[in-house]
Amino acid sequence: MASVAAVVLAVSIFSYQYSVLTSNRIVDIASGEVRSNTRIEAHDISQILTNKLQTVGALLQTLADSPAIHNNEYKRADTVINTRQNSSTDFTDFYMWLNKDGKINWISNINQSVYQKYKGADLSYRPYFIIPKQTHTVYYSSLIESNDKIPRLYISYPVLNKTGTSNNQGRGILTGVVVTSIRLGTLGNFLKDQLYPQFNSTIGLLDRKGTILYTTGTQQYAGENIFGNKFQSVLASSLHSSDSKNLLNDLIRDSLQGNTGSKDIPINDKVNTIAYQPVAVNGKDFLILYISAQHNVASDVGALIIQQQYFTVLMVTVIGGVAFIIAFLVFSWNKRLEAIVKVRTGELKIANDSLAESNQQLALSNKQLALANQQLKIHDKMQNEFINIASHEMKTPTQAILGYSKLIQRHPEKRDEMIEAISRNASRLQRLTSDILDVTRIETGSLRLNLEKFDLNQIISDIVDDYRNEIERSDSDVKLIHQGGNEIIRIEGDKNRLTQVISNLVGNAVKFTTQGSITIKAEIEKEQDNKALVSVKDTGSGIDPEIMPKLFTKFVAKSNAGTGLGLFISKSIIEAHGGKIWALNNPSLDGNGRSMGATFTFNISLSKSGDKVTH
Amino acid sequence: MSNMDNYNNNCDNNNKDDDNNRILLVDDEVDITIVYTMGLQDNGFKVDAFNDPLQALSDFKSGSYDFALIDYKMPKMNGFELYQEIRKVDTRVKVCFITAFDVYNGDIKKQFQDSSDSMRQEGKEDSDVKCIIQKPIELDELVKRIKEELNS
Repeated sequence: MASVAAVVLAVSIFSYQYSVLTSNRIVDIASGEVRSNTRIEAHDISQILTNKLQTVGALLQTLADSPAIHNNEYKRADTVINTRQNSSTDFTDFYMWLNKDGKINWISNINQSVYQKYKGADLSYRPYFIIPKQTHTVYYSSLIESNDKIPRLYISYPVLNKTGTSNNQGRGILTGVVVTSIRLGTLGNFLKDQLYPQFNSTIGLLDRKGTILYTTGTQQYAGENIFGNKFQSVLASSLHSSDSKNLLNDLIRDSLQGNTGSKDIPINDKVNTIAYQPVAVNGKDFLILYISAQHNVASDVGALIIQQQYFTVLMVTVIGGVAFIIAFLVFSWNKRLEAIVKVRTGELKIANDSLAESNQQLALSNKQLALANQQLKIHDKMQNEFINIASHEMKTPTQAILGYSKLIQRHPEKRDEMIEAISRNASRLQRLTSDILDVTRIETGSLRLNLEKFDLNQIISDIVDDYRNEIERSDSDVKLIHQGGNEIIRIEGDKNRLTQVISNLVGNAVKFTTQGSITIKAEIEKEQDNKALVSVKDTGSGIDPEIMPKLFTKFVAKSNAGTGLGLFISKSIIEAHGGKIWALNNPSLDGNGRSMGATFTFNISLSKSGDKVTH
Repeated sequence: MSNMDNYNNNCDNNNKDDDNNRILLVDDEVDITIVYTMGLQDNGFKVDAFNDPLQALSDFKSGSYDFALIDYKMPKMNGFELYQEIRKVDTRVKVCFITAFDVYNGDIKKQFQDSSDSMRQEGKEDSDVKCIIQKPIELDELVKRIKEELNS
């Protein structure tokens, strides 16, 4: 917005400056035109006046040379003079013939009575008689106040008799003078007619003494000397600046020297160009012509241009205003758009955020997937390892069976031992196969529990009976104790699978215990009375601390006769029942730091109903 | 079981005069040592069998055996470790490993190679164990393999 305003302002200023520059230039051009026109007009009119006066002079000369005048033939002379008068009546006032003594012989353009009155009147005192008489040349007078109070200019020509004896000047004897006059009014009108009609100028005429002969508009100063008090006081009142008056007087003085020129002089606050030109007749400066022209056109042009300036400024302002309004509209539209964009951006941001959130979730899912994949790989590797070890475990009894089968033929004396060895290895193979099958079921998630309600102590009792028989068959003196066997601890679970677990634990205890006792106990858990605890405590070799952390994993705890899978399977079965299994080495009781066997414990949920169990 | 062990021991001093037939057998499985010992003795070999590799190592004397048949997977010390220890004492005895692992399985093969490489790096000349016998094997086949190795 601010920039738009600045542009408008700049354009306005530039336009104004440009207008001023242009107007000044146009004023200059117009003033130049006025100046040159003034000078040309002064020159032209002076030339015309010269020609006119010379023509009059020539007419006068032909009159002076006419035989009628020479011979004093009045009647003929009258005709000749009247003819001249008629041919130049637009300009000359009258023609007059003076005799050699300066008395009127003849006068044109007057009626007989007037003629009779003036006939013989003595005009010998007049310069227009005296000067031609003395010089024998044409005379152009200055302003002369005639008897009839009409200001006139006079031109006179000597009438010389050249046929007679020559005088000192060799031009003949003066027999008279012919005179013509020009009224100042006529001269003024003539001059006025010469002015260029389309050029608004005024004209002034001085004689070479500075006498005002004619000025446009008024004749009241005619006959006044231009440096006289009357005219100078008029100048002082009409020219406000004394500079202008001095300039004008300087100009007039210069012009009276016979020079040509022009000057710009401010008159009444307007610049006027005044051009001056001498009017020379027969090589003599006779009159000074002045042409004055106001620089009206220039000031008109200036005014027009100022008008133009105002118009331009107005236009620029209007255009600027319109531009401003448009800019304002665009600006507010932009603002609206911005607001819309902002709203959209906000929505997008929210969408983006939720997208980012989705991405994050996706990344998390990916991470989880990667983790799952890794776990899968680990699982795969473990599976592979399991297969390797399982295969290894199965090949060992197979090798034994294969070997014994061969040897039994070559060594019939050891037949029984070998059959027993074959049987032992076969049953190991069978156990292994069974356990591997269980592991496979567990790891593929296809371990199925056949749930039923039963008394834990009942199955423990059965297991203890079996192992007690086994121990009795061997040489071992390990005691097998079933603690609290009369209490009914009712649970819901897979009877066969739990039998497998307890049997595995008791079997392990039997394997690693060479003396002392093995105590099997089922009880209600003290802290959580909805659970049963089953523990198998022995006084055997205890658990190697190295394998303790991995006790329940596959092929870790392996006895000679075991498969190494029993504890893994037991743990899986207990966990499938929602219970936990753990093992501890018993604290040393004899003080020498030796382990006093191990205790394996698992817990399992009690049956919710308190139904009686029948034995 | 005890009778079998006796049999195992009884065979120790047979055919002392015959060269190139003294065999050291180490395997943690008792049934395996019984079966292999009997199978080899039936073919005129003299066999010292051990179920404990540490026992086998402590009893080992340079030049006592022409051939050693060592199980790879044993507790306390695996077959390679035992082999390395034996080589420190006896550079002449020929050795075959016997294992129930699938030697063509990538993982197991790698284990063998790694063990073999580590021995090579230690500058043992006879480090390249090429002879691996896979369990289960027919006794006749076992004898045949051992004879081939001895004559190579």
